[in-house]
Amino acid sequence: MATVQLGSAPTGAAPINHLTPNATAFGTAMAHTWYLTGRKLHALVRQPWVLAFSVVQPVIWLFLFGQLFRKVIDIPGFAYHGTYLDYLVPGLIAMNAMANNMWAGMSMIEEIDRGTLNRFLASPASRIGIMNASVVEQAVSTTVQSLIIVGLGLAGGARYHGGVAGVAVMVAASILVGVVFGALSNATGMLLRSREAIIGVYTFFMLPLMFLSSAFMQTRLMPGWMQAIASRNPLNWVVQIGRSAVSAHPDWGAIGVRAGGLAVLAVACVAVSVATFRSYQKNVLSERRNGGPLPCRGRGPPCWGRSVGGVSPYVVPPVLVRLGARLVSRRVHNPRLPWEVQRRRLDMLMGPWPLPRGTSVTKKAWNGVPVEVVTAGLVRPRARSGSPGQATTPASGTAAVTVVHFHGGGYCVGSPAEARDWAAHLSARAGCRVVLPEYRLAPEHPFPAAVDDARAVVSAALGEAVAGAVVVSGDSAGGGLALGAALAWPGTPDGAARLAGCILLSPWLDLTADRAAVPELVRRDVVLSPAWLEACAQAYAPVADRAQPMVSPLHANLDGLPPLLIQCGTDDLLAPDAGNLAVRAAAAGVDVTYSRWPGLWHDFALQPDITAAAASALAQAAWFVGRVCAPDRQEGPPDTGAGPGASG
Amino acid sequence: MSSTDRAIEARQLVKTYAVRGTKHGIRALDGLDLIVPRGMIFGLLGPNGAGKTTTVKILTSLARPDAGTARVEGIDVLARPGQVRQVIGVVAQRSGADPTAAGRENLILQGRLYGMRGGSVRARADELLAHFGLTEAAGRLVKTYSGGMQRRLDVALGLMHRPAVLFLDEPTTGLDPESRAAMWQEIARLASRDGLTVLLTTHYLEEADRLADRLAIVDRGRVVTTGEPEELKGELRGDVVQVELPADADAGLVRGVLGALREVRDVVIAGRNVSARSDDGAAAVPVVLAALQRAGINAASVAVARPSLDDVYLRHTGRRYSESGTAERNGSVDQRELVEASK
Repeated sequence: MATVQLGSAPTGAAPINHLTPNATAFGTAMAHTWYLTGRKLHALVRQPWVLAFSVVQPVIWLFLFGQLFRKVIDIPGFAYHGTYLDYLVPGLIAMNAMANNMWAGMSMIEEIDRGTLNRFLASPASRIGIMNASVVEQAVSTTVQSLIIVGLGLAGGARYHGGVAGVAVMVAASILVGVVFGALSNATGMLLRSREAIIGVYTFFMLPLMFLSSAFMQTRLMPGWMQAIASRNPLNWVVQIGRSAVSAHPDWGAIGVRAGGLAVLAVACVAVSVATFRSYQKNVLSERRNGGPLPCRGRGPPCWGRSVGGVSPYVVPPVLVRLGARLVSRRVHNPRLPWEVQRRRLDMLMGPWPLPRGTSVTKKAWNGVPVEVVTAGLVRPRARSGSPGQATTPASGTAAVTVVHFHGGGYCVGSPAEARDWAAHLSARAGCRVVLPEYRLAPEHPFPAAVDDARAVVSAALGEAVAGAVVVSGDSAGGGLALGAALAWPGTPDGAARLAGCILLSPWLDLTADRAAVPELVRRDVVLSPAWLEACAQAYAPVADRAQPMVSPLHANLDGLPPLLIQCGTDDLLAPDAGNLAVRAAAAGVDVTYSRWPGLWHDFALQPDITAAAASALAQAAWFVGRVCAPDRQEGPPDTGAGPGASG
Repeated sequence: MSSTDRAIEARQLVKTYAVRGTKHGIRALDGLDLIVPRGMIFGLLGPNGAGKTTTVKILTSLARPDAGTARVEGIDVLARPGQVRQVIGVVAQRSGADPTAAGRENLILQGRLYGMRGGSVRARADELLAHFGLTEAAGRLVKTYSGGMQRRLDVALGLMHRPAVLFLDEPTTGLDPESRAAMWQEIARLASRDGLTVLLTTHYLEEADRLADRLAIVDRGRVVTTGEPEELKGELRGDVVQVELPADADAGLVRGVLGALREVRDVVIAGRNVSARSDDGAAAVPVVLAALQRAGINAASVAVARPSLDDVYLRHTGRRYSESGTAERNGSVDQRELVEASK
């Protein structure tokens, strides 16, 4: 390879000799606009169908509304000379320009996420050039789309009396309104850096602005307050400019006034969006937004970065997920429904849940219990011996670490499907395989069937993982089974097989507690109800048995437990179980890590690609697995006493 | 070192981010001082969240500090960000390449933004494509590139305008081991070129040890120590004695036996591995073996090693590197959970 000089000679400051001398700021801005626009238009040309698809919606409006409201034109006072289709085309061109440009912020967010914007900002690229490029690209695509609509309207029978000049003015007005809304969308994207905000702005403004204009109906037929708004609605100005321009007798004076207003507005909006760069720069740590790592100060567990490993959660606002959880769980965890119906609905809900790419799910039977073995394609990280970084999946032969996870469902419903997503993410992140047992459910198989199955699977896992480590885990009722299993294999001094750790997500550990005792908690819980828990407990174990340590492991002697990770949300009827266990286990000298997520609901941790909290919980679980299963640790954890202990 | 030999000079940088749910926000930098001499690879080592990326963002004019001063190649970053941008190349953590454009198009656009024109920009792009083994992929869209190819293109983008200082923010994070090794070679080659100063941030101990001529360990927004890797390790007196115990050994007994010896100190037991520090490792080995034997424990193996950067990190921060927030696991970070014995 020929020698290439990569850096400049070490002559100190100002080593750049290829700069255009005396380049003015304006010249630079124009040149950069040119280059950066070229980049965007190249991308556009490579995917021309994207443009075509984006006009599908207005085209449907055109022909649907054109037909549906054909007779509107006959309403007394509508006073329009032409067909309703003629009337509609300028309105739809304006609407299309607004709607499509309101998504411009999405590509801005994509550029931020990808690091492209930072690359430009760290270079001498002109800020105005960066924003202009976006504006010009929008103008070009708006023009193409508007012309498509004009052409289709013509094909459908619309007539443009103003001729080519009229159509050109109409398209130009649509470009202006596109620039206004594109710039605002870019500013929203850059300031809030959230796709949801852009969707919110779109849904908030789109329909009102559309119907408070003359796009579909003459304003003079509207109530007075609507007319007042419509006269100040920039979208309406565009509709009116377009309609007048293609009419037989355009009112050029009115067109000029409105176009001038639009141009002023467009320049102001672009100026605002350029100014948002400054704000962006003040808080450029975009990774911290939108579900980034939790604040990390002081000693203690590490901070959980979302950039870690293979998980990149598409984060939905918690308030929406919470609403969804409430809507769904009332239709699933309902004591009035037969168990069969509950199970079927839960499977319909969770079965088709998309799993991370490269996940493999294998069904097997371990000691007679059906299990699913979940692995997510990954590069085995540890390369102490053998070739470095050899790519093997944990499924091949002796996986180093096995996590046995028991699904929840009050011992009566549920299946491995509910935990598959969590299992796949954990597998990818922690480099382990995750085994999801399909233990027998009550009421057909009451206590101790589930406990027997749990023990059978854990014993098989310990038998198989000769060289590896086994962690038990469980959510909700599965948490009770996991803790029961952990209690069944206490540490032995001779280093015989034992569990490396135990992970409990929103565990149900005490079947004797009165869950209706705290009305405030009952109100806040969006997933569980006291009645449903009681129905489950009744189906699973008779009242006399419920205090047994194997049914309510919170009452067991906790000595000799492996390291525990307990995670729960505070808006969970079962949250007291998690807290009580943390305190009791820490008192018994167990290595406990206990995390509470304020405002989160029962089993929130199972969907790491929906909420940032679940992603951070998953990162913590992966950290925990890595910690307790570090090589050469099979003899058990050294006597550190209680770990971080109960916090919060 | 006179100030003209300094590629980067940052003093008392403070940066706080407002974060919902925290009253005073997150203090990402807490009085960070940094001096990077010209013409070397300088490593900024620390766990996730230590403040490395924030430091890079301030030095590359992407973020403004709340307090403090920063100079790159003698130019004040706060007062003249435009001039600084001309002399630096930045390879951020995220690939900044445009996936919908070809590799060569990305490079040419980058060159033009730096004011390069005409034939010289195309020649430079082809030169870098050849250098980074991307000539054959030059006309392909970047989204078809493998992770390693994309990362090489990112570095090429950073070098397009022949910068004096190159910032590499975690250049190998997310790469598979083969690509990582290749990237290491590439970075090491950059160092051997004349004049280029490289500021490399990493949370891989091994990467810092192998590549950096000099490094600073960052923890909670401050530089806790700085020096050459060998020098830092040398500050830790003596050697590390590592003993592998038989499977049935009693950790408590071992701790008692070794704790009583004058020849070793700081006994750390992790499963079957015991490590202890000694002023003279070679002399301590027979003493350790004899003491263990008297207690009825036959060591499976014993080794004497120089301290690692992990030991340096432990000394300056009071934590093991592996415990400090690097949740990512990879081949080069030693993830053993070490538990310190009572001292």
